[in-house]
Amino acid sequence: LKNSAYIGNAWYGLLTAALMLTALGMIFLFAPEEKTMGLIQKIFYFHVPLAWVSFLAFTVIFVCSILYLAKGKIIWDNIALASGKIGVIFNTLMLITGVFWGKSVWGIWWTWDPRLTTSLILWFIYVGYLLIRHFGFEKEQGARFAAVIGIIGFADVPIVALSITFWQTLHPSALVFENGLSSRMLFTLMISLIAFSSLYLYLVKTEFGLHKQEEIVNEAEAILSADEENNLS
Amino acid sequence: MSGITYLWLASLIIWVFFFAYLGYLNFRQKKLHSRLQALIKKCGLNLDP
Repeated sequence: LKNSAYIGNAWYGLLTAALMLTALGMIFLFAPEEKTMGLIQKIFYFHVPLAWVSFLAFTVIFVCSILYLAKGKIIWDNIALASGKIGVIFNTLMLITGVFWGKSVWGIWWTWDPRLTTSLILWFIYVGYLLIRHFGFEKEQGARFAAVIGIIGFADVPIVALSITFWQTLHPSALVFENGLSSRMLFTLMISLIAFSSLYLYLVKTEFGLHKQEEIVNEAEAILSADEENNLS
Repeated sequence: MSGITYLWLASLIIWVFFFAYLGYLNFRQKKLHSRLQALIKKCGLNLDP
């Protein structure tokens, strides 16, 4: 990284850390306790932003995969890959927080409910998206296969989002769109959404920059070792 | 376990996950730096001002 870009990234990282701490403080100290569920309802302020960011990450993969297949420029695949890695982390945490909430409210860790099942399928799709690059394909071939998965796999995102409308499900409905939240709850949710989105951007930016530098060093090492072989022969 | 325990546990897991990932990124950055140093040494370049 150039020095100014490095410093800029560090400042952005600090801002993100401050936002995350603010969100955490608000979740525990500012947001009111929900009457029927009690404190466990506060998992909602983690769970919803994690779900929102993983959907955002998978949308970025979808758009970048189309651009990669249409234009063939590796930068689109690199952005999609960075977004995929971070998206899977957010999605994993979304599932974990959901499981905790389920155990506390429903009394079970997991049930094959439509929302939960489609969410788990989504997780498998994007873990597959990351794994396919390591199955011994040529680099460009792996990127093309991953792009196809990134486009087809995205079909599950609206299915997950609308599963509570399509099917009868145990999962709570979208309270945000039904005015089911008090103003303090809504404010906390908004801050948490901003903090998690900022964290996603920071991690994707860092992951993308690092991957680009690794590629440059890989190429330089390959050129150097090819030169050494030529000199020996 | 009570609701507050699950809430703390969920919060802790989220922070541990992200700190672990940041640690992993930092590890890759350091590894990249040492590879770059080795390359510079191999090429016999002197980048000191």
